[in-house]
Amino acid sequence: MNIIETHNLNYGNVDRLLFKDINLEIEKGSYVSIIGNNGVGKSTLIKLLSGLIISDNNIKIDNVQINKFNVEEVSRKTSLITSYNEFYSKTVISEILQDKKSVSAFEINKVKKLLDKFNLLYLENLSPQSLSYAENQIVSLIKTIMKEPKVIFLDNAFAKLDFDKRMELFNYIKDYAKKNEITIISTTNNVEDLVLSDRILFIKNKKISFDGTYEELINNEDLNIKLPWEIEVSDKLIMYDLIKNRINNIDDMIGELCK
Amino acid sequence: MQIEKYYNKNKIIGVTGNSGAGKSTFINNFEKNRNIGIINIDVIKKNIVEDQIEYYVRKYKYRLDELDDRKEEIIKMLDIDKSILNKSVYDISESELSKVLIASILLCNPETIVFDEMLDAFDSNNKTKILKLFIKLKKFFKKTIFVVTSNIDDIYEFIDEAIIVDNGDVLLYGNKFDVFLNYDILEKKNIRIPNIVTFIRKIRSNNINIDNVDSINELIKTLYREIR
Repeated sequence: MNIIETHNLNYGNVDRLLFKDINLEIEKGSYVSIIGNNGVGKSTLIKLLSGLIISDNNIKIDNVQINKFNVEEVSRKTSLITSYNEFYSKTVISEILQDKKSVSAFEINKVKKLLDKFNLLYLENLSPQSLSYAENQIVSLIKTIMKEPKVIFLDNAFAKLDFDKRMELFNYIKDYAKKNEITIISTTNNVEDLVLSDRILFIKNKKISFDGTYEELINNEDLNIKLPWEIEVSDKLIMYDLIKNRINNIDDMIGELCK
Repeated sequence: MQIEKYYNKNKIIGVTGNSGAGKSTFINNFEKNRNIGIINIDVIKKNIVEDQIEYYVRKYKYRLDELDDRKEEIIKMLDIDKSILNKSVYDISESELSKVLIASILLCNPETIVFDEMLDAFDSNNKTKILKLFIKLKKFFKKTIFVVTSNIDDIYEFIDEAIIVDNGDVLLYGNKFDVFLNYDILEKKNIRIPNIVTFIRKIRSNNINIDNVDSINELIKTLYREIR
């Protein structure tokens, strides 16, 4: 089943067209990553798909075409985590529960458990405006989980965190999404983040110029993308006849070289 | 913490450590000296791009008579699309905003520049361009540049020295090759070591003695020499 669909999506601003006739079908429960150069429109696409920007286009979320009358209701099915999430509530816990219509002791406990899991229980009654970057990102993640959306949008989420922390959070979201049939749509500038995705979309020249798996992406010779370090080194070692095949980890590469 | 020893080095110094380790807090110790330009997301002061670019130079009244020429030069150097000059800073992409903030600080020509966790908004091409620009600023304009990031792999090739921050303190400082030799300390603290450093350490332990290199191209060259 398609959780999101676009039909001939055309969108631009005053100076230029960003997307021309984009037709997308996103399967429910999939983990889709969107990549492309700076300024190509990744964030704008996320805003269109999540209803943050409303346009004349036919964009459907859960089979309902978004328009200005239903956008609020449709938005209840989605949640967005960006690089700088704005918070307006008095305390972290009230911010996290903000999107819930009713709040029970059960839910409050669930929030505390999640905060505790990420070692942020101390933030519970603090003001959400004064959080560090990492705290802001994780609070936004917990808020997303409590909202129980059908689609989670990640727009350059966790980008400033170190690699291990970033992977921990992405893996957590992926596990949570798989268990609950939630769809993830994520934009990123880091090719290492892509290994978790089921499907990768590369935006170029107002179109989706690549649509495939991670394996297909790194084996595609026409795309000019920066490959993961080990693969880039592998390819150069092959060029100089020092190894025969691509190797994606350091230990195996060294094993090959030492033969 | 003797902060003075980090001033006026005419080097590019990477400041890294885990998220929340206190990198930006460490940088805040620098703030008192006016010749230091700190570039981070809090530097946004004006709504319109052009106003933001001019904000600090007008505030400090620095060479206002030459403003237009210097602005032109910096916009060109950073490859800022002129069509965004009249737009709101909230209507442009994150990478464009980062460039605008860099421009607003560079226009004041500080001796020391701190680039605080802003690289992650850029795609890899733009990251490389900015880092190469820093090298130019170091070589031709004699500046000292601190690049703060959690992702050391992005900057390792371009830095001269490294500061590892852990728990609000400087854990290690020195020439980048020396600093990352301390892999046991770094691994114990779970601090990320650049891929190339790990590769070099492991291949040396297999008795292939390659040089200290910092870029993939140099790595391939030195491997070729040693192995063939």
